[in-house]
Amino acid sequence: MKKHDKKGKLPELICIIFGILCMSAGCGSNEEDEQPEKIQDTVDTQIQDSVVTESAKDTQIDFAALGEENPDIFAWINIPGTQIDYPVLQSEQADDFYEFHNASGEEDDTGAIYIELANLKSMCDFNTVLHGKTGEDGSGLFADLYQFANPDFFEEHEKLYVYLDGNMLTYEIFAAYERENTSLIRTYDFTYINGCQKFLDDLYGTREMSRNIREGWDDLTPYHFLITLTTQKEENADKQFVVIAALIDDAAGEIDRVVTE
Amino acid sequence: MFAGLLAGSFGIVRAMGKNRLRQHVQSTSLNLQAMIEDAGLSAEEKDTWKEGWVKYQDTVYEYNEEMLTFLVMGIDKDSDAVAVSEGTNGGQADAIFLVAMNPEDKTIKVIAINRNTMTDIDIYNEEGAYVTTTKAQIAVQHGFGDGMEESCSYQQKAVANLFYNLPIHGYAAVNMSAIATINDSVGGVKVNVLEDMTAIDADFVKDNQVHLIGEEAFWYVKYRDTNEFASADTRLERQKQYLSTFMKVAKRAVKKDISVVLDLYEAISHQMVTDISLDEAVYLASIVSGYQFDESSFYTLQGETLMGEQFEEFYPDEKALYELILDIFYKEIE
Repeated sequence: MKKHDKKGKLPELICIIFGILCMSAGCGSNEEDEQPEKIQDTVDTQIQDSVVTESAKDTQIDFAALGEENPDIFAWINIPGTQIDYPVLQSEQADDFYEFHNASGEEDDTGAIYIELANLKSMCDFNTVLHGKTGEDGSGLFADLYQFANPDFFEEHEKLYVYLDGNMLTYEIFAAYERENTSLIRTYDFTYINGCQKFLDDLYGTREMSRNIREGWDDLTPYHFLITLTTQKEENADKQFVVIAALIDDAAGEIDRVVTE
Repeated sequence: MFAGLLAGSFGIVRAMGKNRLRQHVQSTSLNLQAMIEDAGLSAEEKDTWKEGWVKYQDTVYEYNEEMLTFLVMGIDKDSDAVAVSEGTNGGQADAIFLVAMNPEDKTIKVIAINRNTMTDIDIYNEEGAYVTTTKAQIAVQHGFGDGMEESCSYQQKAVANLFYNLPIHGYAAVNMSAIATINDSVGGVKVNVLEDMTAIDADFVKDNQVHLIGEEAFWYVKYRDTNEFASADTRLERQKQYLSTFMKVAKRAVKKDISVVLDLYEAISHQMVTDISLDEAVYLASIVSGYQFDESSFYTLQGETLMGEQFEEFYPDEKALYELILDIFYKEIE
């Protein structure tokens, strides 16, 4: 029954007072307060390696070290049962910068896991869309997403975790399917309630024989917080595979937003 | 000697037809497993799950790549506008069928799609620019377009979408007026009249056997009392009955002389829009005679007809539709 324990107190979250509080305390940002240059003297090589060696398996992410290596790293994603255990980045230069650069910022066709500028780094949007590649040979940072096409794997793997500096978010994966390879961010305006609702309507109305949807997740609203992981295969360029999850736990209690009618 | 030449050229026509048909598919969305073959997965991983597989009630299915599926539409350019009037000059698809040929078990199955089936319809403005997608009667989709290839491809997309992105290998939109020509090309069709239609023909008394010739065939499949609720359903029964009887007669005619197909294609070419070429049509006709086809080959979408604000709306039973697709287009994986 635990999986039905979604954010039930959502209406109160839209209260403007909380919204204002949120701006100042939670989602607004506290990076500046808590990230002084106190680890300036950390050994260089250790910093260089952190992007590669860091893992969420110990449920600890050293954002200070990661930030030293690449300040575009703002989160870490981990899906237990898959290889997905990577930093999440956002470039201010170009939306697709990390399509062709690795998490250290070096040119690399492997790319990195990234969000576009239309999404907030605070994870407070209705739908935060993460991109990652799947290579021809089945390699690639997000290649493991395709595992969720298997109903048995989907059934057995419910959770994914997003680490932020000072917070850990737990999501429940509730949908995995193939859709047109169109940009979710450009197709739906997630800053308005209508855009969020349209996304949900289309999600529930998806006509795909092999779509996986978890039972008990047919009542999402624009007041929830979703994360969508997308990937494509070159051989099948007009389709993208999406794994969608909904926030079920916010350790620091910072995820909040004002919903625009 | 002339006969030999004809037979020779027919052989070529037929071979070309077969190869080209499979390249028609508009949507590549049934992604399926092609890419898995050399995806570098271990043998064990390959065995566990292939993309495009479907698990339903503990059984795993995969799309049958051998299937050849065609959309056949009867277009009624004189029909009353339904639901949407703007830019619907293309004529509505009054009769919509999917014809599914299965080369593995040599069967043909025909799925009749209720014209009022509520589904996603793409709306275009008078300039032909896409405006939005909305739920409406599937038959109106054809009207958005030029009444020719454009209309057909819109209709094909709407039907493919209703059927969970099913690959459709070709379409034929035939003006209802061509029915008389098609009917007569095989010497007419005998049917037992299913319902009283003496309003249009004194011979159309219920249970009366009539030999439909020319326009009679047209009226028999087209007539619909729009004052009667769900009259499209009873007409569908008549269309089913007519088509299965016609197929029986046609199979015999084709077996006797394949040139019937060439003559017929020629005769109705100006009353028909299709992306199935003559060589493809001949190929299909030649294999069809070996396929099983009878009254039990017909399927209809289950669902219910409700009265909308102005027009009837048919809501398919999604579970039944899903099972129908698995049943006809997929095969079990042991």
